[in-house]
Order: sequence, then structure tokens, then C-alpha cells
Amino acid sequence: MQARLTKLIVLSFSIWAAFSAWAKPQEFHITLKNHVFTPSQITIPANTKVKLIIHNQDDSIEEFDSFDLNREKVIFPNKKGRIFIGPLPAGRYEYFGEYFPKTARGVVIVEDSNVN
Amino acid sequence: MLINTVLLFIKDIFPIFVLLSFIVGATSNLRLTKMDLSFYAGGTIISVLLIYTQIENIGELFDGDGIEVFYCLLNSTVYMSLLAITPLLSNKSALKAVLRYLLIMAITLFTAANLSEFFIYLSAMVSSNQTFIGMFIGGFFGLGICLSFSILLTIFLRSSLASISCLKHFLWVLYLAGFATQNVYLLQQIDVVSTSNTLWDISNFVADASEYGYLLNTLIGYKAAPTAEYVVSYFASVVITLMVIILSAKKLNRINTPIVRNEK
Repeated sequence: MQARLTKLIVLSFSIWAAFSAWAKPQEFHITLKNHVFTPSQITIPANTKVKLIIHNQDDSIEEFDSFDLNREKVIFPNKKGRIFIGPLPAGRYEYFGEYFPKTARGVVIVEDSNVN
Repeated sequence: MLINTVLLFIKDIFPIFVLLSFIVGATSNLRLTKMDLSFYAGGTIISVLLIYTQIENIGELFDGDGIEVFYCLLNSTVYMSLLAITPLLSNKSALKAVLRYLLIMAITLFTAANLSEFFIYLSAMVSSNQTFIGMFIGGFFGLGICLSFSILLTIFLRSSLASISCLKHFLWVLYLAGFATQNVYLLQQIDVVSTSNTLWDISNFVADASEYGYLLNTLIGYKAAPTAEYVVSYFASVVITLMVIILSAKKLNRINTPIVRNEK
């Protein structure tokens, strides 16, 4: 009984690990320097979950904010933060730095193809 | 700078005022003592210092998802406390001591977390040598909006009109539902909850980024384009809060109804 239970646990864990590896989302990087996001425009595939990694190279704190994406993340100076976005339908999703919204702005373009 | 400060005031400080208005206005039987207020004030100062100084370390936890986890725990504690005091909307019974301290602790942490976010913004402005005049005027306007709105809300919730027409209960149910859904996007952001497509989009009517959007989001958890997970958790909270209200009303009726015995 105990051996069967152990096998079941191992099998479940293996399936979970395999699925996790298979379902690992694509990563996209954005850098914040001098209160400007670079690149200011990224293109991601439609209907797919992706991981967005934001590198803050400024000496001040910033908050990545997007009403379109429903995301909000504080990024500390010289640190990085990650958020998951999607799956999203094709369209244009704007984001900005909450503390410096005039300069720190960008857009996520969700397309069915031509992903950079 | 001025508009940005006003908006950040509405985003970070306004929820504190609204929470306090709901607690003071909707639960008329909640009697706070000087001791409670001292605990709240002292606890807030200590908590702000702790959160503000440790927020970066908190953020490093859970593979960089520490802030989301922290806010999820905080929101859940406040939500549970508010749900627990829901019977006080119509019940005349006093609040139990354990629940009283849980509520004060939850409000203290909520206030401290929101204030810390605002201080983080201030520190970012100071470090980037921004002018103080815009921030000061923005802060003045922001505080004025928060104070005036919370006074009006408290007066309305305490009015007989709100009690008779059940508007008090209605607003309380929606406020709690809005609170319950705050965790949905936090958990979706760190990939704990899956994200589905938005069910509708009424951004043309009231956009999330607008002043009304901020206001309605704080009051009733408004989202112009909610996901299915958001809507499900919203209505689940509405059902739970309504059940608590109905069950507590039934319990009160049972206590107040005299027992009639058949005496031959």
C-alpha cells in the first residue's frame, strides 16, 4: 500500500515537473534607465502567457503600472521584477512608470504572428 | 507633478479613508475606546516604519513575489475582519474582544501598507530632486478630496435613509466584494491564478485610469474590463456576505422572538 502510494506521488510529481518545463512561458525583458523604458514597444504572441522581466537601472524606485494589462509592480533601484501577462487577445496594451509617467511609458503589442 | 500627486493620494490614501468611513459609518454599534485608537495610532507608526524599511527585503522573498504575497495576506486579513463584523450592521450585540483586536490589527496593517506606498513615492520624488511645491499643493488637494468624501460617506452611511432603504447593506456587500477581488490580479500577476480573457470592456464609459475609475474601484471594486476570475470571486464574495447578513438577522430574530408555550 505504502509502495503504491510512493509510486503515485513520484508519478504525479514527474507529470507536474514535465508539464511545468513544457509550459514555461517565453521571457521578455524591459530596461528602465533615466526614467525611460527600453524598448518602449514589445511584441508578444496572442493568446499566450508570457513573463515580463523589468530591470530598473535607475537609482530611484519605480512602479510598473498598466491599466490595460491590470498589472502593478514596484521595481526597486538596480533590481529587477517579474510579472506574468496574458493570455491576451491581439491588441495594444499601454504601460507606464507610476512615479515618472511623462517619460516612463511603453506599449505591449499583442499580435497573432511576427513576435520579436 | 501636481496631478500625479493627487492621483497617488487617491490611489494610496483614499482607500484608508474609505475603509475607516465604512467601519465607523456602517457599524453604528462599534464603540472604539481611547485604548483602541492609541493602539491603532501607535501600531500604524511602528508598522509604517517596519514596512517602509523592510519592503525591499519583503519583495525579495518568494523568488521576487514577496510584495504580492504580503499584500494578499494583508487583504485577506482585512477581508476576514470586515466579514466578521458584518453582523454589526444590524445586530445590537457588542463586538467580541478577540474580533475587536483582529479588526484593529487589520486596519492598522492596511493603513500602514498604504501609507508606506505613499512614502515610497515621496522618497522617489525626493531622490530625483523634484520640486516640492507641486507635491505640496497636490497633497493638499488630495487630502481635501479624501477628507470631504469620507465625511460625506460616513454621514450617509449613518443616515436613516441608508438604513431604511438597505443602501448601507448594499454598499457594504459591494465594498467587501471589491476587497475580495483585490487578490485576484495580484495572484494572476505572479502566476498562481490563471488569467482568462476579459468578459467585457466598458472603458469608454468609465476608464480605470480616470478619477471616477479610481473612486469606483475603491468603493465597489469597479473594473472596466474584468476577467472571468475577477467576476467569479466578486460574486462569490457577494453571496458569502449576503449569507452572513441573512444568517445574523435570523439569529437576531430568534433571540428577540418570545417563546410561546402551549399551556393547558
